[in-house]
Amino acid sequence: MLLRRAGDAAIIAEFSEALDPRAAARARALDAALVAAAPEGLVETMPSLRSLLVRFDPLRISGRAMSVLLTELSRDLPDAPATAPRRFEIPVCYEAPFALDLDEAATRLGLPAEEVIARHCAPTYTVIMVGSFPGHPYLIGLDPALFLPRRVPPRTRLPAGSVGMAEAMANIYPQETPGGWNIMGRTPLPLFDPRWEQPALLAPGDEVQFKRIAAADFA
Amino acid sequence: MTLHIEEPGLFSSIQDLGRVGHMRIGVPPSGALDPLALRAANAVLGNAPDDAALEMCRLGVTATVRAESLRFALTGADAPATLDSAPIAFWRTYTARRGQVIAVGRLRGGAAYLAVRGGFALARVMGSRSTYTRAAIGGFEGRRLAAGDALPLRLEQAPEGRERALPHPVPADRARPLRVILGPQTEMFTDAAFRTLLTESYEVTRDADRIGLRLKGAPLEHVGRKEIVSDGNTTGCIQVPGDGQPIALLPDRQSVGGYAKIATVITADLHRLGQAVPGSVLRFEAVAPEQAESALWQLERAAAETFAAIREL
Repeated sequence: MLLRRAGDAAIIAEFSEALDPRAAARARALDAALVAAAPEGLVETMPSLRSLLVRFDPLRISGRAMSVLLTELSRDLPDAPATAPRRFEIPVCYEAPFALDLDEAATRLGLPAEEVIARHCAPTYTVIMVGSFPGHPYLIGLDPALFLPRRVPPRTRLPAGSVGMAEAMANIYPQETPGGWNIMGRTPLPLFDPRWEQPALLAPGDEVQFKRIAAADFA
Repeated sequence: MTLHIEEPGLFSSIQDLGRVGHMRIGVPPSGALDPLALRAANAVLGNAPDDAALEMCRLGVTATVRAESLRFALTGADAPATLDSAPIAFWRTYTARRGQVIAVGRLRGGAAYLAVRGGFALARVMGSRSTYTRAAIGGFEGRRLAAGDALPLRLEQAPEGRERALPHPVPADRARPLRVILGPQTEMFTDAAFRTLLTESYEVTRDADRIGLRLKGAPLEHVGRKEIVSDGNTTGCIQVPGDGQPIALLPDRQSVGGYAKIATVITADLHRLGQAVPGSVLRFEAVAPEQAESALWQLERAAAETFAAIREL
């Protein structure tokens, strides 16, 4: 673990320089340990692809004290989370007009569209980060046969619910946003609502499966 | 009882001290660009420190009081202001009667605050009244203000009592460099890049909003690769894309980002960063984390002394 000072009010605990599922799991474990320790002055935490961002109030805890605490907690992290991950089934329609890039992706990958869909549906994905936009999950577990670069240039508007993939990850756009990922389909399931007690459906560590639905069932 | 917006200014929105605890689900803190000026407005009015106020960027609002009476205060970047047509000052309270018009002109800085006694009657969303326009969260309908908006007030009339004033503006000190802690990605920049950052001046370009300030100046050179696998952003971090031109991030920034960050503006200077506008010239000075902490203690002591010296007129 490398501790990086991100100003006087934040520390990034980094477990890898690369996208690494084990690093992300370590970051989540440190997150759980830190939240349980609840030190005075802790403001908020954000587990992400390979690190944990820790924001604190420097008037209530010094950066030095926070660093010492993080180092202590990191020595004794469990390999597996204390509780089983939550599992979600996300309905996805892989048909027109939702599957914006399915045919192009199939051509570039040299696979029939049906096989792309089958391979996209098959894995159990893990939410490795929720970020960039409210409720926006980054998922790992994508079949390597589906790895494709991002679209250049990105689209200026993607409809809410668009289910995409780029490089080694899959994602779901909760709101209409610009975006460069390859869009395989769309889910009717809302992923973010500020009125919910937990405004984001998904949290880091959750497991996700895509369930194929017909356009007639998209509602 | 409302404050009726006649002219909305350039980018006016409701902001408080920010939305804490939701970065982990992709929601940035938002909140006042100049939190110290917002706190000063609430202090002089006798509001809670985290009450929401109307934040104006670069150009002020014109608004009509549609309540029996309204006590208000202006703080932050100085601007010509009037109540009906009489000039009014910043850093003190006034009481307006029904139908009177508060008008704020062009700001000599990035952000000014129009706060009202008792606050605006707006619901907290995810713990805060701050507006985050990108996700249409908080504030007034989750968006910047428009002509015709009627901002609901919590009080029908101003309480009895004399007007109050701060003894002086809260520190702004535009001339001195912004203090930064180097990093988090110190190893990704050349030694020359750090020398350049700490000796050259950077001008704020027109590409400046509540998300961040694109700066223009001597390019900052990366050692090798220019991007990182995304990790967390903080307000005040200075990220450097491949073209070497830095971008300083502000409260509506994305929660994560993939550009390497060369330095981070310290908490005690964020209110000064928030006052930058296109054309502002920024300089940076490196400090150790311990110096940043004592700077924050000093700033808080100064703020407490200033607020304790609020006097009746």
